[in-house]
Amino acid sequence: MELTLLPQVMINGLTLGTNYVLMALGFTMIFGVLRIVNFAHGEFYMLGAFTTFMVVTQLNLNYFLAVVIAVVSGGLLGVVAEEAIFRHFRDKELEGMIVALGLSILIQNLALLAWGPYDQSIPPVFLGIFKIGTIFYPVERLMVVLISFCLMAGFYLFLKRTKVGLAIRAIAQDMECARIQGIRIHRLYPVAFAIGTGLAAASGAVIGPIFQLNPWMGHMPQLKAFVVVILGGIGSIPGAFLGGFILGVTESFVTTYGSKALADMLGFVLVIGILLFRPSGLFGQSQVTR
Amino acid sequence: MREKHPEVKKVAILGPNDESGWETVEHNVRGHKGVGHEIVFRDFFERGTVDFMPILSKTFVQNPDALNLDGSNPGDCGLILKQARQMGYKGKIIKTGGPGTPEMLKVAGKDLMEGFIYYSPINPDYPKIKEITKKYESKFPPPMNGFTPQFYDGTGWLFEAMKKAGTVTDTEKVKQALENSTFEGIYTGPMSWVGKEFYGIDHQVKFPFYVMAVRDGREVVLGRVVP
Repeated sequence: MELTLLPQVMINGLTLGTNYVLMALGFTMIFGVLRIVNFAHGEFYMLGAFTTFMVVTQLNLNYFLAVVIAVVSGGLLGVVAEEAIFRHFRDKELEGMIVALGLSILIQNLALLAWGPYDQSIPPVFLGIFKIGTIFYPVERLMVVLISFCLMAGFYLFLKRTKVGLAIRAIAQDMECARIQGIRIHRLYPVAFAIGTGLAAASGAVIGPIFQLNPWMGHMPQLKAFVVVILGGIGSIPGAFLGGFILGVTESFVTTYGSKALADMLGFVLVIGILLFRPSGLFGQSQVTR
Repeated sequence: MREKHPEVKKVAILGPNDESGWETVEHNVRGHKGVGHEIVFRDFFERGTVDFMPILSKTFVQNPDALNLDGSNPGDCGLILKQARQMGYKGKIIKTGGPGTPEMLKVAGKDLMEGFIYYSPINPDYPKIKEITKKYESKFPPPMNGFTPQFYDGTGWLFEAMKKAGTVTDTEKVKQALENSTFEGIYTGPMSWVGKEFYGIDHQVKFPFYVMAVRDGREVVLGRVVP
């Protein structure tokens, strides 16, 4: 085992973990509040990336503005999806899951018609490399981490310091009690959904300049978000944070010292193990029947 | 590589983790060893991988003078090249399998692609190739796939064999006419059969190809090889 690689492995893993956390936060938010397993979550990630691509390359606007537009439009699409489709399946988990799968296929194929099957690329925004000892770190990736942390901080402050955030947490904790307290549950569902899809779009917008874009790019991040949420505990925000970084660092370690195939398998082996032995995940609570 | 870049002694090969990748990596290993290169590292990745930093971290610890991208698809190649250069890798990056440099340029950008060396079945500046590219892209979304001229000439060869056989329905006669012929492709040049040494039968098509490089975002011919 080449130990000189360890610092690089850790940095790679933390970067990867940042992206997983951002995806997982949105996913767990939607499930925690609306009890919907949003299998179209990866498609909002993809739409966020393509929105950024279009704003930067077709409208020639600034990248940061493009990210803002991507997040806002991802959120608005989430409101539309919730009001037009998912509100008919509130408290119907199985039907909601199937509808989400259908929406995922629909969005992928619309993207295929719009942008074609070829990989697209957002021109590099941040150039240069940091070199510290044996560690190489592209500036591009550092910016991904910084922007992601800003978004996570904003999300945290929203949940902790605003009335709407408090209300959303109350619904996630116990819907009946939240209703008794006078919280208008049905008005907050679209807000929660919008935040979830906005975070997914943000993740796609932020990672877009680093990787390539195509209509299927949301598939693997969706699966990873699922793994992180199971690992951290369904509906648990702290769990999503910790789970994302654990998965990112572990995958980086296994890919570097083992193989990519092994690393990809690992996540799903973890899911099976957790569901068998600790179904609530690291931070989740036991499920309460609503 | 041996003639023009004698400083390359150690090579790393990354290929896709499937039947195609496993097959072509062996050919690459044989080719490199045949010119005296040492294979210091080889590994496989899943097609569609987007983050290559872990596998590249492992690769560069071996200090290869050249990184061979084997038969990886253009999208993956573009990402590997981009991330390798972003990690500070200064060695040669080459690709021995298949066209797709325009797609790679889109992903990696011209600055990071500078000096990339690759195999190409066509010379994109050859007038006939420009002509077919223009015709193709007037009907279908660009870019034209680099294999298209070969498919065109391959079809032409088949039609020629049907004419010689005097039939389009007797597949055995057409097969024999095809096996016992050569063909002068409009875009590809002289085409003939090879393969007995490796596969026991001459059913692989041989045709001239080009060694190309990217210079200032443009595809430049370094040489033409007539096998």
